[in-house]
Amino acid sequence: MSQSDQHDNSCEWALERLEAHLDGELPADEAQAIEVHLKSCHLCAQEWALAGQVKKALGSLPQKTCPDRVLEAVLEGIAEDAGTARRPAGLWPARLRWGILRPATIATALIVVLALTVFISRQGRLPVLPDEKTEEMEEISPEAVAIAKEEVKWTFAYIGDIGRRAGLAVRDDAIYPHVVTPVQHAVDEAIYPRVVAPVQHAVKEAFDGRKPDRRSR
Amino acid sequence: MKRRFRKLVDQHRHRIYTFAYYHLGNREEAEDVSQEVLMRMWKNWEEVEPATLPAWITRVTRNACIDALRKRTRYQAMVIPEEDCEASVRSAADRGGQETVLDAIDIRERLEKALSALEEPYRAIVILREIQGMTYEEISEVLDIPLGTIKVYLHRGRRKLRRRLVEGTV
Repeated sequence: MSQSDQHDNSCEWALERLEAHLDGELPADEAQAIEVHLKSCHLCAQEWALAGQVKKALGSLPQKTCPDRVLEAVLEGIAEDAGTARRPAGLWPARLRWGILRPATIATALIVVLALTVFISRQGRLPVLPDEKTEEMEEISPEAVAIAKEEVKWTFAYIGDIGRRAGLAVRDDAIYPHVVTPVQHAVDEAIYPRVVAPVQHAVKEAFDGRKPDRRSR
Repeated sequence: MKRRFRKLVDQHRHRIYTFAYYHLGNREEAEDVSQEVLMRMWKNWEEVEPATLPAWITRVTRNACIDALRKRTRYQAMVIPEEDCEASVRSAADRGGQETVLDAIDIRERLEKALSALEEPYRAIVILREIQGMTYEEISEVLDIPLGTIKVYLHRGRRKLRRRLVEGTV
């Protein structure tokens, strides 16, 4: 009897359950029946071996490491996102006065000023590194340095984000309504009647004065 | 907030990248997808329930992978044909006496290729179950597919992989 003759209905039955058997999900009686069949059928036994091999190979595929450049790109994206972000219109009323300026705006501005002050004041107190390596320096592992660099990047991105938001808030709630707009009005009120209007009037008169001349020609 | 988010990124980024790598079959697209998923995470992580965050991340990653595949011109060739879904496994007799035991050395490389050419949802299910070790229940929740169907698809997906490895169609 050839191998193909042997490959009958019992083979179909066994092959249909091969994967479930591989995962140990078959009832005991079915699992036993398959084991008996595999001992007597070369082709099904070969299929069984291959199925096991593929499952094992799948399980041995390594977990991949996400490259650090992906993280860096995400950091840049977050900073960019924060830079282009705008508050929804109408969330904070534009008619705010200095006396009732939102506490959140003041607090954010103070945090930024404080952070910048601390940062600037520390610039002059940075420890001078010795020329030769000391034991303390040798204790700092490359991993620790990498983590510290990463932390610095995140901190700057975060401070940058706060700074931008605070800047936008101060601009919209304080500078525009209390500085720019009043100055614009004052300039308009002062310059228009004293400069712009007389000049416009003079130009109009001069233009009108020439009209009869043109007609007379 | 920054620290909490950073912790989440460290917890999930390798998992996201691993899924995208095996799903898409190349490093560059996997990096793009990982970046996109992490950015979406940054925008939404505070609104997602912590308990459902891993499932949310997996779902977003898979969707991003499918979007990336759609951008490829050869995507149409990968769309799962209906009749293929229902096709039963071809009998071993059809293959005659051909050698089926694969060379262990190159199986991993060929398997990666075969995996990234497998149709959806088989591909996602095989990756989540066999490579990332998720339970059937977790996969069912992530993909919104009934538990029983997940098992059937997993078995079918592995069988398809086997056929392609043996027939050398990878």
